[in-house]
Amino acid sequence: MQLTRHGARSALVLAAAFSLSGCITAPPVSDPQAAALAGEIGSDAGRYYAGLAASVPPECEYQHNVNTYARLGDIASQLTARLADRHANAALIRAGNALSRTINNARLSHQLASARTDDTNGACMAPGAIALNADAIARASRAIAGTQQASGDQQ
Amino acid sequence: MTIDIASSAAQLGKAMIASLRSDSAKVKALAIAEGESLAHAFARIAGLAAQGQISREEAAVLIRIQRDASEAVLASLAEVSRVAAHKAVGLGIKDIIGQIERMIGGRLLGELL
Repeated sequence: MQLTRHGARSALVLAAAFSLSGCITAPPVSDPQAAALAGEIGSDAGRYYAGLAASVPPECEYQHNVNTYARLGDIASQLTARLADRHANAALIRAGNALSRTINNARLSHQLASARTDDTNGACMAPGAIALNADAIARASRAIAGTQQASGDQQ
Repeated sequence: MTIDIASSAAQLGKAMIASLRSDSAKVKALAIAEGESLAHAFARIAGLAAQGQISREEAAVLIRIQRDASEAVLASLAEVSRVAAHKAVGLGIKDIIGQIERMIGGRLLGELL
């Protein structure tokens, strides 16, 4: 089958419409700032939980760590706002919100652990719980940073 | 100048499939790894609760943390898939658009790819 000049214009319009339609509407845009924020959460949380696992009361208690959770939550809010503003992409916004909830619930689990002192860990978190929370934040933040890598590879 | 649609379509399909195969294999591997992480985490939470290291309330929160982390990972993979689809379409139509642009005599779609 051959395409004439007139047909070429139709094909061109179809190709443009195809490129601009559906789930592939927006061309992927790599955002180093979003990747940096996600990376910062991962590295800060990693360092924090490594230190927490080695700490003893009162340093391991929730009250001594409130500022760290506030800082992690603040970076996550910046990341989510940036993803919503720069990308307006439902999947990325969902990922950012899920990371924010992960951090907030990590804070809550520490608060609950410190409130309970009738166990062998006292006011500290159980080492196993620390490892689980560290892993959860690392997975989530690494995945979000990875989306920016994928977009960068595409460009 | 004319364009051979049948040949171009075959070439376009081949390029798209090759690109999608490669990227979907990566996404599949990452999704399976995340499923394994989640299963291990739930098993560890159950173990900690059974040993009395954490309360039931803490266990429930730890499960929510793992669930949310997995949601972040899988939503990110959805974005990686979208990028892969964009790449596949771009690779697929690059050649045929080049032919159209040569026929029309100018760059019209290049910046969209």
